[in-house]
Amino acid sequence: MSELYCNQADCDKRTGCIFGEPNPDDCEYRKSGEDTPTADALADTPMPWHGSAFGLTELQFVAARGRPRLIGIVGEHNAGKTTFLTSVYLMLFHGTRMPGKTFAGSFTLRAWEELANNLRYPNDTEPMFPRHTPDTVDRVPGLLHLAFRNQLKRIEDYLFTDAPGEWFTYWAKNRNADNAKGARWIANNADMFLFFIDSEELAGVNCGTTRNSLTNLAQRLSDERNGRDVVVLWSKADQDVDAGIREQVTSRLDRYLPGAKHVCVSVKDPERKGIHTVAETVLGQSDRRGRSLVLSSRTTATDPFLRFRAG
Amino acid sequence: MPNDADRKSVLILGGPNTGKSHYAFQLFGRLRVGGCNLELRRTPDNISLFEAGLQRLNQGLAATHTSMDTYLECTLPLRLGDRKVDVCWPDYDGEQLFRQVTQRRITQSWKDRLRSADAWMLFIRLAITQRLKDVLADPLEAEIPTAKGTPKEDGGLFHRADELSGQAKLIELLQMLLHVRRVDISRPTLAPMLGVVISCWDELGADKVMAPEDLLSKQAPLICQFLQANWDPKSRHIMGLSSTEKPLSKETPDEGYKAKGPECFGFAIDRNGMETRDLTLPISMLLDLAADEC
Repeated sequence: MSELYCNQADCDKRTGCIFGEPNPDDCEYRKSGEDTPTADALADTPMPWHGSAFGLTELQFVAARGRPRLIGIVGEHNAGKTTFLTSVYLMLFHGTRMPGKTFAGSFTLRAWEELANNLRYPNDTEPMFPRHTPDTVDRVPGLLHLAFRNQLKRIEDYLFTDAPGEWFTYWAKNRNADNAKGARWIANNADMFLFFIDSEELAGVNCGTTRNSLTNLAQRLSDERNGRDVVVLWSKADQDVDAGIREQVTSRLDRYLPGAKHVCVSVKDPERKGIHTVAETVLGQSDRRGRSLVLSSRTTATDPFLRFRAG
Repeated sequence: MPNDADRKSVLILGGPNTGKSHYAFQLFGRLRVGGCNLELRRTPDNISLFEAGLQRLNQGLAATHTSMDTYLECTLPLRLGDRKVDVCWPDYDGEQLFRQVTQRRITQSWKDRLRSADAWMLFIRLAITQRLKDVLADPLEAEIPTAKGTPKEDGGLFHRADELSGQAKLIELLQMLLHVRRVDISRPTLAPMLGVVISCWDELGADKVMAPEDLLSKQAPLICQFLQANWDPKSRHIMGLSSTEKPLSKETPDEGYKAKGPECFGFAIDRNGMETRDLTLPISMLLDLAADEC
């Protein structure tokens, strides 16, 4: 039987096409023929990570060395979620250190670099904000990984969800919506949430509808929060939001997400204070011992996070 | 005669054009004339690894690029104080190392070398490590649009694994090497010992006065943090090196080299930023670390 095989060594159909093709068989690197690795290739050691965003398979690889901390990034389409993640990586890349933590690696370097390349220049194109994270029907969002060594000399793993904004819009409207599976996974498994507010939309002609959808999303998250930390990020904070609108949105968020810290972030702020504050809030938590959890080979759980949360 | 020497193998790591081969030629040249911390106990059985390069340097010319897909080794019988140490010195083209990062597979022969080496010596040449600007660190006046479409439609934006930036590429390489060697990094590791050599120090301009670790922290901060996080301070050191002291051309001979000989050129920078003419220092530092561990 002739089947389609990808000729890219690190592409695994189970975790999705590394070039982002929704149907892996449509990818140009898949060709018809038998998968016949050479004797040399068989003796070589393939890596258990491919550098792109994690799916569940790679998640187990990181989870084997300790319970990672999952940061749920929540916000509507174009609210600046991916740009914020890119900024965190670039900050580290340029030498910012998190208090008491030392960068110890990442198994999704290729994914981080793809994001960073959008904002880099000179390049073969002008710098651009990262493209819209595609809306898929996946059960799990793409996960971006960072590891740090803390002052107890232990490794702390962090995973950031990079999900399309549409998931949260569907989820806000209907908790059980079929196309909100990924949003529910984030709500169930995140250790903390970053809730994004698009200042540009609030400052523009759509301010009314944006206020309404933000209220829906905050209300939905409040039901699922269970005491977990939330940081509210006012992205694109260089945009002038009418004081009245700002006040209204703030008081609604105080009602639904009480105790959440509010931070203004903008890539146009030369000191990037807001991004620093959030990064330190997320990564600069007190040292965790990184309890060692080794997955048994007999495990049948399809969702390692559900297992660990019970512990 | 029984060989009572302590055998150590140093695995030299580094991408293309990072100065691995030039260091090997200059190191052997220094060992031959003596006067360094490390000395040869006797002539190595086979010196062909160094011969062609030393010929070129003695004519005042840069050595030619190591041929693709070669891997040669030479055992250097050395003496460091009272210790007899045999160091196995390899020479290969740097492309084959980074090709394994791109292909995400480490070959069996490299796996064996990585596992058996007592120390790794990593060459980093900062002047050729890609320096990319971005709109956060170096803001632009112009408005920044949002990228449209899927990656396939504007393929120019889409970067493949081999387009990782210099820092990311080196970190990915080290992560892969640590994984293949099965190093447990749940704590900062003691083995393999790691000597980082910032090569072509003469190219660095005003930053030359910095201590090597401070310089790495300034110019490649993510790599520096990665090393500090994963290697115990006792098992790593960061040094500077200029094997030839000045750039050499492949065509136009340098008269100074011709007249005085390549042994009169080149220097190392110790971890405090002090310059020394002893080009064997990067190796003797690694052997010292190895001795401390015993």
